[in-house]
Amino acid sequence: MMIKGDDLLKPRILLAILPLVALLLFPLFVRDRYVLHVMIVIFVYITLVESWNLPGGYAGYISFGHVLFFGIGGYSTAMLLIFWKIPTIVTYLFAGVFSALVALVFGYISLRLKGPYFAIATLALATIGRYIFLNFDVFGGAEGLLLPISPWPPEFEKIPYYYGALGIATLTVFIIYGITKTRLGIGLMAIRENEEKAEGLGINTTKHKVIAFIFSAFFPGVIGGLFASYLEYVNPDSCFSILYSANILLMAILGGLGTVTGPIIGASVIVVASEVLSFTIGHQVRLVVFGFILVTLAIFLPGGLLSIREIGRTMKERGFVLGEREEIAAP
Amino acid sequence: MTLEARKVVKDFGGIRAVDSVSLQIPAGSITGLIGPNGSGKTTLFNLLTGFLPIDEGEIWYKGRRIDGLKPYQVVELGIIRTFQITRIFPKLTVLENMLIPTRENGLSHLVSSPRKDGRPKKAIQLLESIGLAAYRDEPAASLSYGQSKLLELALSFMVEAEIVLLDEPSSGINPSLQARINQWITEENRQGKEFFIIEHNMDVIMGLCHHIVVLHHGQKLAEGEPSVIQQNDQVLEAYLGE
Repeated sequence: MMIKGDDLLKPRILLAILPLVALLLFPLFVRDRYVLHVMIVIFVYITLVESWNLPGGYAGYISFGHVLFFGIGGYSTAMLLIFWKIPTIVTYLFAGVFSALVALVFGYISLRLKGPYFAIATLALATIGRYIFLNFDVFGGAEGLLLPISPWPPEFEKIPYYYGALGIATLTVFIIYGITKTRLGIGLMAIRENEEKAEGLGINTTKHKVIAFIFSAFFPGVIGGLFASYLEYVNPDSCFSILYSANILLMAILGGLGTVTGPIIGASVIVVASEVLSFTIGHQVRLVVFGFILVTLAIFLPGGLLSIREIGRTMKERGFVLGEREEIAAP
Repeated sequence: MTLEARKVVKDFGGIRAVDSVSLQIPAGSITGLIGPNGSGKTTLFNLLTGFLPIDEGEIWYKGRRIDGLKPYQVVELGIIRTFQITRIFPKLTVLENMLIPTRENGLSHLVSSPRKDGRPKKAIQLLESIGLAAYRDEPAASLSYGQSKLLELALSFMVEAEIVLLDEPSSGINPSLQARINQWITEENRQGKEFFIIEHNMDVIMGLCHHIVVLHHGQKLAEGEPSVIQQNDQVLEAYLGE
């Protein structure tokens, strides 16, 4: 993302606040349980994708295993609720902290790996995590754990989770946005563009990456905790399904890597499209469509939906539209 | 005491790229590093700035041993370098590029804005003096090769460095701009910055430097004032052949 003077800032804030007010009022008008459920899922994914985007989109460290932090959050809340009977909302904070701690340890070890090697390490970590939770009795094995039943009456039971998820997603977006405006943020972008040069200009790259990774694990942990208490159960499949990681990637790329609004757009579009496509062409065929979308995007819109205005130029560059190709200046 | 190498050795497989080189940058000087291609100049830069580990010897700066430090730690001490092949950050704007260099990595520093302490103002002044101010909001990828070289040089001026190591700053730059860069280096030097410059252009080296070190096959061949180096038979032989 490019910073082009601060005069653009004010209308941007307004643009952020208006939808937020609309979302706050939304449950007053829409009581449909299904719609509220879809909204909660969107908020969950916004949190996940926005968090993933900090190391992934800004620093270029693509994680294939981000579901791990979501899962750790879910199990943390489950364990705390079942065994220690701590107030639910407090368990979310612990869930975030546990995820962040795992990210600290794993990040410190693995962030020296670059490109595909880092991606594979994250995939391995998520798989290991899943098997740990699958095979230890204290975590309930394959059946998982049942959480205490929600105290809310059925007609209102989605409302607190709706506001909880909205709150966490909003906080995530604003904090990540804030981070991208700091030295840490510009340092992360420098790392993405050229890590060796960044280090040569005084950037402590390891520290930058580990901090980014900790933040990117904290929020998924918190929202994982909330989602577990919302579903009222956790099991290795609900918490560690690789589909989450795949969806995060799809949404991030669809929305636009390394932008703050991209994940919001990507998460919303994919969740809604998933639901619509499940009704129309079926649950499984939908994945084929997503695969097709991803490949098409990679070719025509590498900047994601946010860069849709540039599609004409990209089509030309790729030779799909006849016309003068832009000359690439020789060094 | 300024930057000093003591019997530094670097091997690449069976090749000794830097062979027991000892040198000291005279305080307050502009020092040149010359030598034929493959004589180990850039490798020596990489060793001095922590980009490569040394095999033997020591590197000292201000009474402190600095070999083994990471590149960013070397920058924190006040030693910054440029690269022979420019490595700017292509997708960031020219101004954003300028805001990246830093000598601090503390937590409170990381959460602060890169735009505080008048840094954008300083950046724009620097960009104006090299004629890139008009491109400040353009992605750095849109710059030409020569302009990228200039940006690379300007980046090294964004931190309050004490020593600047420049790796062939004049290659690919037109003569009038070259004169401006030389002027720039001289001015910064008068204000207390030391320079260590790799250069093939002898006019630049002889006109700019107070002190010259010659490398050949990884060894220090000669060292001294420009006029002395110009008369040195060994140096002429290394450059021109027998």
